[in-house]
Amino acid sequence: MNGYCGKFLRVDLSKGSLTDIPLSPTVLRDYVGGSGLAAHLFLEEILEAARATGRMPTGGGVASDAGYPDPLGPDNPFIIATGPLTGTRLPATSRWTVSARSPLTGLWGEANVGGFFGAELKFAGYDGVLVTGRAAKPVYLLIDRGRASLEPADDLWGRDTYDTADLLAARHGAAGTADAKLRRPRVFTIGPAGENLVRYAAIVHDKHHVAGRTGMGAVMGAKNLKAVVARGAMGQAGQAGPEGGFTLADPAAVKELATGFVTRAHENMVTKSLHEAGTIMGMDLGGLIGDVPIRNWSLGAWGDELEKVGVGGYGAVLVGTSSCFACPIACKRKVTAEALGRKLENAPGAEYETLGCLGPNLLISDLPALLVAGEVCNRLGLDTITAGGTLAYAYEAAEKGLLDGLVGAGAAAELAKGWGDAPLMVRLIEDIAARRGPVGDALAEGSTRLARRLGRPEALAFLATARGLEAPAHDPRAVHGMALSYATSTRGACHMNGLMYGAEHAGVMAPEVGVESDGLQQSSEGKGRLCKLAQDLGAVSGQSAVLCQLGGNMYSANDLAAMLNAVTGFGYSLEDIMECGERIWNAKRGIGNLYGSDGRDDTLSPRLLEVLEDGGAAGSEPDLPGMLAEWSELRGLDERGYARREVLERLGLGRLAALIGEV
Amino acid sequence: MATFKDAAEVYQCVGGFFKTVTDHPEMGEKIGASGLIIQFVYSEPDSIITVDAKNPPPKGSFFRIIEGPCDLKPDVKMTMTADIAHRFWFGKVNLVQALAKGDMKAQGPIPSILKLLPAIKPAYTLYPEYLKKIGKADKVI
Repeated sequence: MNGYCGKFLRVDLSKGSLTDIPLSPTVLRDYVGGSGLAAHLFLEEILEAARATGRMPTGGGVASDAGYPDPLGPDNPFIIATGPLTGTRLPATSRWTVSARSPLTGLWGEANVGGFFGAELKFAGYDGVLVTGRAAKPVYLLIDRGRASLEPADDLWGRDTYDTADLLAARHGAAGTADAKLRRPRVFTIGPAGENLVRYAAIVHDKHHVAGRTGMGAVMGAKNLKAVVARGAMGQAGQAGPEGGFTLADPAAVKELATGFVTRAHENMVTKSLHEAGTIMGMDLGGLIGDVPIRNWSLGAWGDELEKVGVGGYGAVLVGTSSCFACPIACKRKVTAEALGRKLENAPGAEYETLGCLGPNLLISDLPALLVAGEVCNRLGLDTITAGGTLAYAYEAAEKGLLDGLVGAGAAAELAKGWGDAPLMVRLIEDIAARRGPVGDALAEGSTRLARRLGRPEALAFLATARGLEAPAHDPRAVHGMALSYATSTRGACHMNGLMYGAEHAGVMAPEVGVESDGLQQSSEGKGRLCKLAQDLGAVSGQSAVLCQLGGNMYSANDLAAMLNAVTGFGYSLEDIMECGERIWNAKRGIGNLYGSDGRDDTLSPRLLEVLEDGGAAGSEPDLPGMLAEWSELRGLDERGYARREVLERLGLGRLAALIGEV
Repeated sequence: MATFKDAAEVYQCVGGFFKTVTDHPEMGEKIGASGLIIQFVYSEPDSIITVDAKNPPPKGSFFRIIEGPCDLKPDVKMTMTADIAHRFWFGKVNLVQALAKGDMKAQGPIPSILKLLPAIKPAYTLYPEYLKKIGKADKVI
């Protein structure tokens, strides 16, 4: 089998068993890899559980743990998955995914991350790992040149992600062994936030790469799984043996494509800009059009403050760049800065989303303090987007006098004055990760559950979420398609769930499959169709192949097909790719349906649709109902927002259709 | 149909607008502080406008504008049609898409270009006002 190792590792933590799951070429062709393949495996797991135990997958809708499996229980399958391109030398293909039922949204959860771990996992012999059960004591999983084992992690429990990465790299590294050629082990780990079941706990890989969204770190924490370490025998694709690796269908074609795309990456304006300015350029570009959230999404402009956290401000702290596996773009930043009594020395630098959500959204423009806050989140293992969104929500709730009863009048008064207070922000982040005190514990639940606990309708009015997930730093009033994309995303408000963000705002062009924006960001015309196609293409490219959605902006659908075919030999046509995308998108939507989500959730919280008075998006009002109607028709949804049975059956999802019908 | 009938009209509208902001307290000062020579090379009709924030500006200005070819070596060169330039100053151009599609080409240090973006925001309201003031209200979009 080309492009794949052809097997997953199944880990039952309750039993301590490790077995291989062979993957069929048909399944791989249909679901590609990454979170698409994970959705298929997840469905297989819950179908098997239903068959074996009679326990049907059910849920209580958005932001609910009700039903089965409990997101924080042993039966929630946690799936690590690479894609067929992961580990090749093709640029911007280093990524991999983690998936499970989300403890934050109660629905399908997934997060996507780059770096080196995905490639190393394939070099170690596995396309992915499926974890069930719960270990009696903390453990970590070691996958070393084709052999897997569970190791005690008592000494790691309680440590932050940076310390854990250092300790495990030292423990399993070449130093002190006779084998000087031993490859560096790659580590991804949870921090205290995951251990404490913070619902938006992240997983951090080698300090600089974060699977942030939907609380996958809490799923690991609930299983007493502290970390996963992978090391392969070899460092490049094209060879396979008992110690790992994978072959390529057409190595010469892969090499030729890689050479051409490296040249393109150096010439394409978007990838060149990412190399030279990093994702931080989103602050300057977004500032022009009103894309940056300010004061819990209530303001459209903030004087000259955005400049302090944009490319200009970043220049003062920037000391270098770094990249993911085999990526010539190197968009990651390294910084040296000092703030709040802490020093960062040549350290991983915060990206745009972190700066946007913890910065302007909390009225903080002190860049060194924001870099420190980003590192604190990474060390503790917290999603910076949801952390920023939850803090902003809490500040506003406190201002409105809604938090006194929950956290006490004194704490609420402090939160109400939180805007612009960087030391308070960092202290609260630490409290959240530890679930310390009533404030830390309440905010560890995320903004939607916090709002519900307040028990008053007005508490829901200033949430900035879709399907219980806090919105990233891209304002749907500035880029209308994002309103629909957030509202219908299978994992909640997310700019990476599909290629709508890329198509409308980041230069993605795939006219050969209809993914081409007219460039009019503050127009809703035709966005229903564009969103549907961008979701289907994105379900393959960004989520399953698994292309980076930054560097991957330079690829067309034809490029994607060429890469997949050269690596796997599957012979995908463009129609095949779009059908795979539709299948994957519907599988994830269907899982959401099983857990109680339906068409009523295809919306945004009111704050995200309030018309702004100033800034680049002043007066702009997305026509969400109009876009939604066009999109729903193309999706073939029924009046409840479920995919019609014939749609699911056409896509080979008949068993899912039957399951949805049963529950 | 092209927005501008000839280079003279580009200089009257776009060049003239640039000249009005050389002493703008917000926009002018930030562009002046960049210390860059930025050259806009337009086609349809062919025309060149150079923003010189490197050499000493005229008294009361933060930078100077040169219309037509000049000997200055630009730090940043932006190439596009005059139509795109016109639309850009109304905030009607999706910058990333234009760059990705090649409708706009940028040469030079990208961070320096990006750093200037916040400075130009006031232009979106100033440019239409300027066009109306010089009797070119028909060009307002």
